[in-house]
Amino acid sequence: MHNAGNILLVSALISSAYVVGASLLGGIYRSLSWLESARRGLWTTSALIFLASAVLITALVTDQFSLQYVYQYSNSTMPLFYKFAAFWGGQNGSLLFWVLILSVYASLAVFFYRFSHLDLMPYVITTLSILQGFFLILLIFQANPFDLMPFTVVDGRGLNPLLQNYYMTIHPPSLYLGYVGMSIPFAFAMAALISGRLDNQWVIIIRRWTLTAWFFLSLGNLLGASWAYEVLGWGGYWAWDPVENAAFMPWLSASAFLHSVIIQEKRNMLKTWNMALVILSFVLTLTGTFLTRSGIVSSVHSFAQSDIGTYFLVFLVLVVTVSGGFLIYRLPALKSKNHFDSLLSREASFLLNNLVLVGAALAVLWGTIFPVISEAIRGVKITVGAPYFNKVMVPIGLALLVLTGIGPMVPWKKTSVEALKKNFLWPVALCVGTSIPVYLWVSHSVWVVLSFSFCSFVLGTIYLEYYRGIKIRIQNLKESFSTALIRLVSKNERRYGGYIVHFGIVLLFVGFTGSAFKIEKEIQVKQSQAFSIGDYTIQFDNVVPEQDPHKEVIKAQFSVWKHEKPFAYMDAAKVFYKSQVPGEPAQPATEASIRRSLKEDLYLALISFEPSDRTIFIKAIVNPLVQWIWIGGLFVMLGTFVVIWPKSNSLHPRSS
Amino acid sequence: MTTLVLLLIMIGFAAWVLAPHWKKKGAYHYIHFFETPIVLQQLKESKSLLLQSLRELDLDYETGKLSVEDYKELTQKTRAQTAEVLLEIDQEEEKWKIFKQQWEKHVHE
Repeated sequence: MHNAGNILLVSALISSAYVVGASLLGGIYRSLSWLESARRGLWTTSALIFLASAVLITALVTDQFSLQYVYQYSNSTMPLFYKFAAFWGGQNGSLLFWVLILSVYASLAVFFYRFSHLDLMPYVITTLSILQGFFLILLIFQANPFDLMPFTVVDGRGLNPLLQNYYMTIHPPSLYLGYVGMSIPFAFAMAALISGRLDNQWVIIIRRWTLTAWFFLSLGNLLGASWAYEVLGWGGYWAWDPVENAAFMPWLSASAFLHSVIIQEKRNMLKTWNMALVILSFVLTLTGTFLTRSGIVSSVHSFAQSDIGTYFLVFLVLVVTVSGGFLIYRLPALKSKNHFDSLLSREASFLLNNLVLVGAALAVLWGTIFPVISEAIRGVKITVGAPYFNKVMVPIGLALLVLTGIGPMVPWKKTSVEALKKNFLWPVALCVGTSIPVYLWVSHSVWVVLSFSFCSFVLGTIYLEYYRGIKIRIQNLKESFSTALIRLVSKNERRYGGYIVHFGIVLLFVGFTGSAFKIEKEIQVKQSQAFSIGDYTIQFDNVVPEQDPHKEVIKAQFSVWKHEKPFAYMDAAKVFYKSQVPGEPAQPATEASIRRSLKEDLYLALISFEPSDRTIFIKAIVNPLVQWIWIGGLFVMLGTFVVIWPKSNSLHPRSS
Repeated sequence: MTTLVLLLIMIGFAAWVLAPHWKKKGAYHYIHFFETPIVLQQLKESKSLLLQSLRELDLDYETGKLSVEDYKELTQKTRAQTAEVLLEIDQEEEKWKIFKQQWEKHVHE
């Protein structure tokens, strides 16, 4: 396994080096033979990386504890799917997983465009092969998953208990698909800059790739939030941890690009801005990875403290210098002949939305790197936590929310004040109509009032857009309501799919706003004792121990009453995962009990149990509206899916 | 044994990757990438975007986002642009037809 893995990695590195040279020659001399050879070389590199991954997975599944990585992240009692998930459970394996996903993306891109975009493809292949090469260098010289143990062991340490959860099989792959997916738009942007082909060709190609990456980033972030909520036992879903921020920053910049690219397509404007956004999104994925894997900022995630940070930093500087250099060199060619006709236009509102989104990404970046900057300047590491992010991001988020409603209601190029009044009358009335009862009966908080009011404003605009579109089809084409709805969406999938995403965003904001009403209690209770929280009375009934070869479970059982009526029985557990290495203590994890409803969740997490007097320490939380976050997430996914869904001739257009 | 199998796989891959260099001229030889279809492709993309813009202008007008004056002015402008692009497409298609005939003649010779 050790030899096979290393031979495959080294061969893949040699192959990627060849591809860089071959593709450059193909591009410079416009040679189809070199281009074809480079194309085959990229597929070869990808196949070798796939084989290396297969070797590591086989080693994990068949308990080859002679490999350090298998010893560190697996053991003989772990269920098969966790052994498989251990492939990305540790740093070295996750880097191999990263380059594997990159290889799949790269192979697909090269396959789809094998007959088209011949002027761009050589440099797309060069960029992707350089990325593959970088990760292969890391894997071979710094984070080798095929390193041998210095001594013989009979069993492994096992996967971190927090990772032994079904989310482990879906959350990291989704997030990596999102992160790595940003490489394809970056490769096309670099190809456009290098080749000088700066027309709209490259943006049209990458829109769907960026949407795919954005889809997986959204899914990954949501799954991560859901995992944190269910497993970490603190009752929240987002902690502004550097690793979370690392995934959030490229999501924000990619969101900006997905809006501004429409302006380039329709008005041939913002070419430089779009190029910068694609580069920024990719650089932010590298920055996030550098920050969290170098150990320079601390994170609840377990990848910190390693030497690969230096490699990432050097690569990051190279990427910024080369891409920035090309961008400056091509600035004259990127200048747009068109200009904004009016501030009252969709392009102006999209530009404003872009500025706010990029501002949000930079605010998150600032908060994430602030500990590093404070240490460099003042010698003291000052960590800014949730208070900073909430203070900065709440107004930014609300500005974005209101722009979500304004943008679609304004036409391209220009509009009149009369048309604006007509379009915004009902949504604004709905907004004001919501704010008054919310202020009087729900909350006096400005942010809460604004959030619910803006949500109703955006809902009003989405409703109007659908209503008017359907009405026109029914009137002009004599279609039934359902036919009109389906055809409206299928014929304008970007516009109306986008509205479904916006609807999901509104529901997400409803869920986020619910956290303003959160009630939290940490309390020590004895058996048969009860306590109250919100509308609930909770009685601690009993503690039941359970055991299997893999883990020990202490389950606390509760009877719950709501408004003094029997409501539910709930079990909150503390799980102790046994280590198979003699002398190592069991590793604890929390399994919270959650009673979900659209109005609120009742959340119970067992913190500790004292057997001598049968006392438990419990965290109880009433989390209002949190379910709307997951429902909103589903709509975001659905809407993105509608927008991504390819039209019959758009996937791989042939040039001739 | 594993090393030998891997070595054979590598040789196979290397041969496949280098094969385009050994093929007969014509299949994978030095040629100038076809510029005409690229221009044509861009023009067709512009045409499709302009037609989409016209559809959106109609939708914006019918949904009350545009006044009659703005709608007329913007539609007229976009139609004029579309007509220009359609003319250019015709010219490029003619050029490409001639280029292809010349190229095929060159390959046969």
